[in-house]
Amino acid sequence: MGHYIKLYFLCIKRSIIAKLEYKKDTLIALFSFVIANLCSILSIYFLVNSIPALSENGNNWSIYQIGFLYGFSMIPVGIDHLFSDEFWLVAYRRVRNGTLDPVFLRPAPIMFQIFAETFQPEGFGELIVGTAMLILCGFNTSINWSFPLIFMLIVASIFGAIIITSLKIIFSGLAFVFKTSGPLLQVVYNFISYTKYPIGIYPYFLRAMLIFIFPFGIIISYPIQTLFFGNVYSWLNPWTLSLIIVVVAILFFFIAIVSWSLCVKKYESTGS
Amino acid sequence: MIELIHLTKSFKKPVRKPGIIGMFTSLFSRKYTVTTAVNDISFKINDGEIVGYIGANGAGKSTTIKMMCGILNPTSGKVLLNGVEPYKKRREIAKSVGVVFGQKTQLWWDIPLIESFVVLKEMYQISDQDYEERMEFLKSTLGISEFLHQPVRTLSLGQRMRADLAAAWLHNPSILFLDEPTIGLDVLVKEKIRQAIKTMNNKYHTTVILTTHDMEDIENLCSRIILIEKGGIIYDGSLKDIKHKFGDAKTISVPYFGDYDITSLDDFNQKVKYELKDEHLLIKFNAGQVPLENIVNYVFHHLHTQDFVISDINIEDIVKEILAKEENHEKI
Amino acid sequence: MKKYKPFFRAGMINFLAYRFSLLTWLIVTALQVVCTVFLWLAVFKTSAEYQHIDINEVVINGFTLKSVIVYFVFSNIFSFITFGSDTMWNINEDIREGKIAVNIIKPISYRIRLLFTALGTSFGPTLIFGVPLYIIAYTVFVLTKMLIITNIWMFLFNILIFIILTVLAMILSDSIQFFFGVLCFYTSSAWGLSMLKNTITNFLSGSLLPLSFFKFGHFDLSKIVQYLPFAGLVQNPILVLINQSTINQSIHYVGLSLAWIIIFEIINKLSFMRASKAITVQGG
Repeated sequence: MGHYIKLYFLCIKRSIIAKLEYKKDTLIALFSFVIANLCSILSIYFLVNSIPALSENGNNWSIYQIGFLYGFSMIPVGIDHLFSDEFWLVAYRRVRNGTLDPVFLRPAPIMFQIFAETFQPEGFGELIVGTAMLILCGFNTSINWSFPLIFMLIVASIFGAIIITSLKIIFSGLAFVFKTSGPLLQVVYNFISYTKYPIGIYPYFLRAMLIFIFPFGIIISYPIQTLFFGNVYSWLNPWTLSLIIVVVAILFFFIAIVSWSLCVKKYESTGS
Repeated sequence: MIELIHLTKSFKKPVRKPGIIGMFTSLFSRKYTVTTAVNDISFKINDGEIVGYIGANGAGKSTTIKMMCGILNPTSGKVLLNGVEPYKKRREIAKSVGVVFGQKTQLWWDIPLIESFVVLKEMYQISDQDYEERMEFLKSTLGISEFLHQPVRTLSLGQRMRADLAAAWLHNPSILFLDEPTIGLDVLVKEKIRQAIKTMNNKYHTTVILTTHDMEDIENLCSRIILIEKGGIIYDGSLKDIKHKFGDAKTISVPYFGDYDITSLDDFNQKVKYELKDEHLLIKFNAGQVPLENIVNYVFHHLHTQDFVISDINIEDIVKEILAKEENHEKI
Repeated sequence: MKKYKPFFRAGMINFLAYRFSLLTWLIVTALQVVCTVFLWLAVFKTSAEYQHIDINEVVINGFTLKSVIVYFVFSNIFSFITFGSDTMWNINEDIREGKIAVNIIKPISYRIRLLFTALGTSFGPTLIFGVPLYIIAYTVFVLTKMLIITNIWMFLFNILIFIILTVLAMILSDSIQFFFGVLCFYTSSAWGLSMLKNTITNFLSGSLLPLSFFKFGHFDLSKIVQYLPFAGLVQNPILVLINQSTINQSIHYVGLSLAWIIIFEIINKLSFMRASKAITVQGG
């Protein structure tokens, strides 16, 4: 076990050395990321600024509350981004261009090697922007902070990241079967952006999808809604919500591991 | 020990009609063509052998190698590496297998070479002592010290091939698969690599399976060659044997400036082949069928020259002959 | 001109060959449109509540609920189909694999070769998928009274201008891509620049939000943003298509796109010449 921990850190160190070889590229990427998010934020700002507040399902969201929601949605995404970025490459091109052959020849689990391949500092971009939004908007909203609420947010961030990573693993694994699954992964990943707005604005089937199938609603929308407007359902207090999040995370991770093992067996090198 | 038992591999490719309309319709069709890359081959390789696996491009060499490594699943039949099927127990055999794919590298592109070794050391759980010893060995046989601290992307082809070989062998695998390791390299580097492989085999008893187009690699390294053509084995035997079968075949090379009458060579009743190459007349014959002295006499008297060289047939010609016989469905 | 035809076809065939990705991209677009529509609905509903008027009477920054939905559907179809171009990735792959040197030696203009490959990638889908999609969407909107045709001549004129603006948008998009592609020479970073370029373009082209929304309270940015090249990439063609543009405005848009194409082409030609003199070769 210690061997894998040591190996992981060695690989990450290697990844960071490689990134430093391209200092300019890394910095520009980080910069671009921040700009990308700024544009997103501006879009929402321009949109919601035209109305005094957004009413949804009986809740009235002020622009700062929406900003807070947006900021929080970036936290689990950022955490996931730091560690699982290589899975995108697997989904898009690595199965087809043969660079996975050496990975299959080495005595370590494939999933481990993919995690260890890249540490992506761009994730810090999301974390920074997200935290900045939380702080800036947080000051302009009235929240009765309490320990259960803080605990719920922390759980949602960490275990939310686990759910996102699990979904990445599941859908990138499909690349082993279909040769490429990047666009499909993209679709699923895009669903996260729907939780940047209060999900009450969406019709039932979409909300259900965001709760029961791709549970981004559970890890992002529900915690924030609870924070501003109280329990979404009477029984869904911060403790039960946290518990549900943890259970769902474990479930998804389990599915990810099983699905990945099955898909990996289907891997075929490109032949000649 | 490596065993291939009735190994077969077929690929399905979707049928694509040409042109733009064809592209569009093939989006909805489900037709496939099946190509059999490897067709029912069986052989055994014992520990410590160096085997040359040769054949034309597309004959099925790389496909076989990939199945032997475990990165490709057979359609039917099996491969056994010391009793284990590599594509089923990938992690079990990973430590005993090393692979070099001529065209692609397994090293990390953007970092100094030594960093790749550091990661591999930990990945294969190589002890510090073994690591030191083997690095010394690799430095002396392959000369990698000169570029050890350069990023792999800046290395020349020769340097990169040496680096790949070093990385593939670092964990002292019992089996080394080399897929075209000397392709595109200059003479000096090829020599270095061949030396290294020989030493690995001698000193560490590494079994080596080598695919190559370079017959000198075969001459220098292999005790046994397996010839594959269109997915099937057409020859499997020791280098000595194959030379012996064709071994009485000799070539006399005579400088030729267009001033001999060579039509009289036809007197030898088709048992002699001749070829004009690089201002030399090459007379090829089987010394078992046509006595050497007859040819030598001919050269002395008919061609009035004393300047000639007698050499044994080389592998390239042997292979050509075998392939020709295969085409004509003759027995070898 | 004829010698570029194979690149055009290759680009189109490339696009079609990715059957899996094609399907999923369709789904992505459809879902994004759906979600944005609901967001707009919520915004307009709230506005209607606050102003105590019917939701269809609300006008925000020049858009009614119906017009903004129509805008969004078309802008999404438009972006998806018109901008499948991979010019930037084409350049970067070439750098990595050292092909640039070879390509510059070839007698075919590198720039035009890329353009035609890109056009092939976007032209093919535009024809095969776009035209029926546009027709269906337009018909549905007219039938549901979301879109109103007042004058048959205006309608035809708008279609014509739309086609012109679409072609200009493809060329302009390619020019911008090439501009960023050449920047790669100097910074050796494709991924970051590509993200930057995509975000800025998406944001300022009006595909996320019509540019008339770009206001900070009293500070009206929209006037400036409308003159940037990106406006011509999505917003302008769509505004013309959905009859939100007067004749004067339409001609103005055409002129604007043309001007920007010329500007970018000059810059591109100059910078590419400079860059090809200073190639850093990778490897041995």
